[in-house]
Amino acid sequence: MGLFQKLRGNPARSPALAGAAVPGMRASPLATPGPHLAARGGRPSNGLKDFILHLEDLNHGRLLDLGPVWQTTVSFFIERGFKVYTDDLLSSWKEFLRTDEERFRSLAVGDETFEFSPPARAERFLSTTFQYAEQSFDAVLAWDLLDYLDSAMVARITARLSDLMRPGGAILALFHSRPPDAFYRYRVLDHQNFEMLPAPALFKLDHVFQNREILNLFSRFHSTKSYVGRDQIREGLFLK
Amino acid sequence: MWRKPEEHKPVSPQPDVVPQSVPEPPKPVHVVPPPPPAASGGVISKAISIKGEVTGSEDLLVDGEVNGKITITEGKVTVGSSGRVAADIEAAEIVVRGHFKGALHGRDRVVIGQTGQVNGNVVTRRIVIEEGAVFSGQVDVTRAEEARPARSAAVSTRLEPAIPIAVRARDANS
Repeated sequence: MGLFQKLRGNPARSPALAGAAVPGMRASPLATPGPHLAARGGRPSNGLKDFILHLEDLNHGRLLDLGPVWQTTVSFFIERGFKVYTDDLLSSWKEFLRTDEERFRSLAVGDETFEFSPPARAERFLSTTFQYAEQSFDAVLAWDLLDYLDSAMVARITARLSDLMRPGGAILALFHSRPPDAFYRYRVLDHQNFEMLPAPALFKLDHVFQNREILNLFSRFHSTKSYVGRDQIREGLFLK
Repeated sequence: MWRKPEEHKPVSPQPDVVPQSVPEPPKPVHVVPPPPPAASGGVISKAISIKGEVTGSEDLLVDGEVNGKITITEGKVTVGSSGRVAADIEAAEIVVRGHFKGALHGRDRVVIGQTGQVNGNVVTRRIVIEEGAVFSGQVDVTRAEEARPARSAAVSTRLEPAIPIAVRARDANS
């Protein structure tokens, strides 16, 4: 059953995604929906809801979270039979830029073997970091990382993500429709809420994407759906 | 018969009584430092660097450097906040509060502490990630059902002697 058929049809969720915990796994109290979530500042997310609806069919899949590691996110997906990979891409990119710049400064004057242009830098990053086999993942949580990367990186990262996804896989990405008041990190609270945690900014917002630009970035995905919240965060769900 | 009248003994001067309202001098507060996590087992301290394989059966605290493999059959391995480990660790429980690169195979539990930085894969039954932990890699939680065959086999071994006893009891009745 396709995602959109599912959305139109019966939205009842399977027991596997209805909060059944894996025996032996310490259940996160945040992984099951409840009234306490509002008090914790959870943000309702239709994108996340549909993303998880789509994952129902993919038992024991692999999920890649491109944000920092959180117990709640890891527990949520592990309890649903997923193998969870965490790769905090913005932190890795920040660290890479620091070492790359140090390397550049240590070069002798006139040494032109090292190209410091954004495309060359992005190529170097992707040749050393973010190394996974093609079609490794069924699901990716990209959060809002594309807003903070330069255009050379954005193009390469979206292309790489497309390669990493298995057919039928889904990516959830967020885009700020206007510059946000703070730099946020995100974690999943339950099947339709995530939490936005203000954090020290790793980067300044690089770009506010228009809808057309987003569609172009994910043109290799056969299906796209987007939702705009009151906070002007556009959630994009991309199905390969 | 006649009780001798009590003599009026001179009252000895009482020592000066300290009025209750005067506060007592503050008692010194003894802060007991928490015991090190693996104090009962072995310790690879800060100044020690090991290349190779470490095996054992009791708790191990690594505050130094280890490159290679750590296998602790029944105990807990703790990578302390100053520990730097590039190895595969296999133990019942693993706690990482320092830097770790490699594979963690914690049979019962893996804990990545607030100061822990893990780059690698985790295979365990339960994982605890404290806020502030840095992790890059894969988490593979083995389900309880996967461990069940081993446990049921152990139970059946223990029950085996009961069968001949039951047979004997029936023989006695007949």
